[in-house]
Amino acid sequence: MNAIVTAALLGTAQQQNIETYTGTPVDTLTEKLPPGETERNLLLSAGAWALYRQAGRVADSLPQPPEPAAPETLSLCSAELATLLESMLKGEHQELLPEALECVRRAALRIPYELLPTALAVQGAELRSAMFHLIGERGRWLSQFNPAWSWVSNYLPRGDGSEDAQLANAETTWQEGTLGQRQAVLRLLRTTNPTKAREWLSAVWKQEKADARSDLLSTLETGLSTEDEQFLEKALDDRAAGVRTLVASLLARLPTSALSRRMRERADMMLGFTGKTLTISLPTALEKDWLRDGIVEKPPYGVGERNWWFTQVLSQVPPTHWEERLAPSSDKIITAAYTNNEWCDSLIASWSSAALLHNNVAWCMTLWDWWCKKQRGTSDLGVRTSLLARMPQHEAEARVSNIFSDPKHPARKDWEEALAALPKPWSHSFGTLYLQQLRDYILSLDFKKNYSPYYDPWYQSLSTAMCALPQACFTLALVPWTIPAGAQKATWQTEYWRNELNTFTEALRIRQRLIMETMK
Amino acid sequence: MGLQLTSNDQVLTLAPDSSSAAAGKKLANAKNWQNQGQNADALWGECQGSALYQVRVDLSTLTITCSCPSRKLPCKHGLGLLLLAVSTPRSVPHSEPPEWVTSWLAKRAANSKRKAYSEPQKPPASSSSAAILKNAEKRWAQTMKGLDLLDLWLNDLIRNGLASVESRPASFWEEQRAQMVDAQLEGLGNRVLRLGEIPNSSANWPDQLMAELGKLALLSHAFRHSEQLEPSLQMDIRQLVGKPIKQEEVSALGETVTDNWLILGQRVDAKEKVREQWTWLLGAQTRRTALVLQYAFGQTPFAEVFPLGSRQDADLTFWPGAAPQRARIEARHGEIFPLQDRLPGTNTIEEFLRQVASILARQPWQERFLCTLKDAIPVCHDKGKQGKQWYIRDSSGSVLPLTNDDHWRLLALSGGHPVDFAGEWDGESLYPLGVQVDTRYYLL
Repeated sequence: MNAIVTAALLGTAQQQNIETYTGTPVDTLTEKLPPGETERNLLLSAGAWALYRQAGRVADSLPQPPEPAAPETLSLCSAELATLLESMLKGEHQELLPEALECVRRAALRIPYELLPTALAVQGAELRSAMFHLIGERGRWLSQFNPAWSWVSNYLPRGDGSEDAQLANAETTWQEGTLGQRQAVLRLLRTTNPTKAREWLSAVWKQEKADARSDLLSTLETGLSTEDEQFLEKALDDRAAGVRTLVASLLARLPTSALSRRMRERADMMLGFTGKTLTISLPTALEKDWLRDGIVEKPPYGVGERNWWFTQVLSQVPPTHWEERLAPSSDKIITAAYTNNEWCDSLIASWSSAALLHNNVAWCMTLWDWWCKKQRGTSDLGVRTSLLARMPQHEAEARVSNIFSDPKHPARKDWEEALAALPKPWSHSFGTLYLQQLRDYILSLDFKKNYSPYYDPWYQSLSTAMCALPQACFTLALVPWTIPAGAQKATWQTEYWRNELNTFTEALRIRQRLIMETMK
Repeated sequence: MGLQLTSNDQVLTLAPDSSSAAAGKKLANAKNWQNQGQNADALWGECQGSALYQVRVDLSTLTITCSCPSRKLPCKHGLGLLLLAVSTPRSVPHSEPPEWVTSWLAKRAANSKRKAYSEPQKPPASSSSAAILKNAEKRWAQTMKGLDLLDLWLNDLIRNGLASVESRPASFWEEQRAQMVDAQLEGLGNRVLRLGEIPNSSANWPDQLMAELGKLALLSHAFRHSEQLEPSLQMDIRQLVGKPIKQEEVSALGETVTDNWLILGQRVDAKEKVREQWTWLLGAQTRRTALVLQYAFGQTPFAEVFPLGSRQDADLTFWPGAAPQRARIEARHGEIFPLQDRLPGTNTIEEFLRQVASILARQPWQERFLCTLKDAIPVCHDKGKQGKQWYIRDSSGSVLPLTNDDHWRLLALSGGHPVDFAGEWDGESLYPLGVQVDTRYYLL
């Protein structure tokens, strides 16, 4: 610390000789100050010295600037498109963001640099994997400076060059990349060379942590075949229960696998058919080999453990097995299940999981139709809507339109959830039907006192429809909407409808502009 | 003081029209009045009209108010009371004013004090030149007294040691500032207030505090010995201590510069009720830097609108001083164009710092400098656990620190490539204003 500052900190009252020496030309100035006024002289010296340093400031140096960003390979999107994206990223019509990003990606465009900090802040795996393709070289370069943007490094840059060169690149990434990148590399390789990918994984299997093992193993879903069985069967001896369950679900998908056979044998012991009724005998104890095959011992809260073991086994068995063993048609088997009051829910829930696991569309449809009729069995809304999503689009759409066209349909409650599960965009015919019914419905609204839009599925369905309607339906959807004259007096209910319809048409107009801008 | 009027005619000159005067005369009768009275400061009374109206007269200014709904000023009730008091003083006894009079007087006193504070230099129109001189002498004495107090306070600080200020409350600095404001040395007062932010703000705060105290002492010293300095620097010092230069003086003494002005950036300080806005302009030909200050109360808009990131031909008049920087727009000419070309600026940081030094040599208290740097690379330097440090690096490898915020937009726009940068330098760090990339100027 300088003599002046030291003297000032202590206070001149405590000191005899005050030193103002700075070793700079300032000293020749301070020497000229009249003696006697100690405090004043110290202050003036400090001022002069401060100015001397301020005026003589020398900049630090940084010899090596960081590597600059590489030139872009994609073209820049239009200013109009950038504005649209920016407003969505900032929360306006956020629901259209997935479609917007996909449009820009398909058009092979990148977003402008000034938008990058906002773009890199997106949350959620779905948006991030889409955004990754839009940020260009500059975005990837920028992301290295902010830990919050490290997600970018989990995605693979678009490959260039020959297949061999790509494979060489992939191997480097596999050995040096982040977990996300390695997962992506493996999944990509599974589409072209599944054997090589499995060999890579098998080579490092023992060294990886349990979480990494799970993440990497999940890539085997892609291109899964009987060739993978040997590796998977060995992996059943894994220390981590989570990994074992994952391995088991992969093996269960291979109908010829030993595990699949073991599961079928266990299931056959528990489930039989008299030709009319289903007979169920639950396991009394959990065998060791069941545990090895990924069956979880402890049931979730509120479920009996024997029932829990039973449903886990049943969920793995392909539904076709029951057609061979119990009765030739899925309908007959499920009918029988619905006549068994005690076990109906367990059976239907397990079969629904099995239908989804084995991608059995026929069972998905039968299970869904029965649920619509009976309103029991598949109590989980997520599972139910998954059944719907697994069907071919026209089948799924036909089922949902049946519900909203029929005011007395038994599954009318929550039908907007089913609507939301439909593949997007909707078919032209389904969209048209929906719009017609919606218009009729709005005209029939009478806004009675106890009416609440919150519990009105039509009102709730608008937010799905604005994202899902196909382009071919835009003209029809943008014909002005009228709220019935019966509701002349503006109530909060009419206001809600008016606002929601405004949001609806606004979203469609944005989508229209989006499509136009990316077609350019 | 009391009522200074002596004749009815004097009262009637106050009447807005003849009908008010006539109506006033009619009311100049004690039977129309109740609770009337007067003292040295005021005259008051209540008059029964359609309702009971309360009349108050401030005798120092002859300001009359009445609770009646009439829009005439003064109304007939006020005139009537004045006429009554002048013609028959006995009927308006000297007494203690009621609450509705005292509260009104107190409010007026507070208002006039506020007015005096905001318009300290406006002498009453009727004053003689002798009075003006006397006033000026009085103010000078007040100023010198304030300056003595400041120097005494500074000396005390040094005598007792700076270590003691660490534990001082905010009022320690605020009180000293208030004293400076009373002495019409607001500029010095504000510097004192800013000193209060330094203790404990960083590891080397004693060094910083002593530097600022020293510069404050230099300023008080310079003001005391103004006559030894160049006239232009005298102008600066006068403004710095808190004696603003009037607009007419700016017109008379300031230099007017015509140029194509690049409007590079703007900052607004909205911490106080009065928002302060400062806008940075750079002359394309003259390379002169201009800082335009504007003030607006609350949410009212600023008078002059600046299209940032544009350029326009204009005449700017600079406040007189040794290193003129503050300016006002005299006239704008022609169209506004967006900034599309490379910015005029220095090539290296060294060159910029030399410019700063030469300004400080002329005006040592200058605090803000416009920095336009060509081919600058923004750098985000990761210091691990200590966070990030942001820099601007010139083509020779020198760096200046940026302000302690994130500058992601700047970094995204440059991508590690050289860009033309504009920022505000406060001697410690650069606050980015804008950046020219290819043919576009981006505000930051």
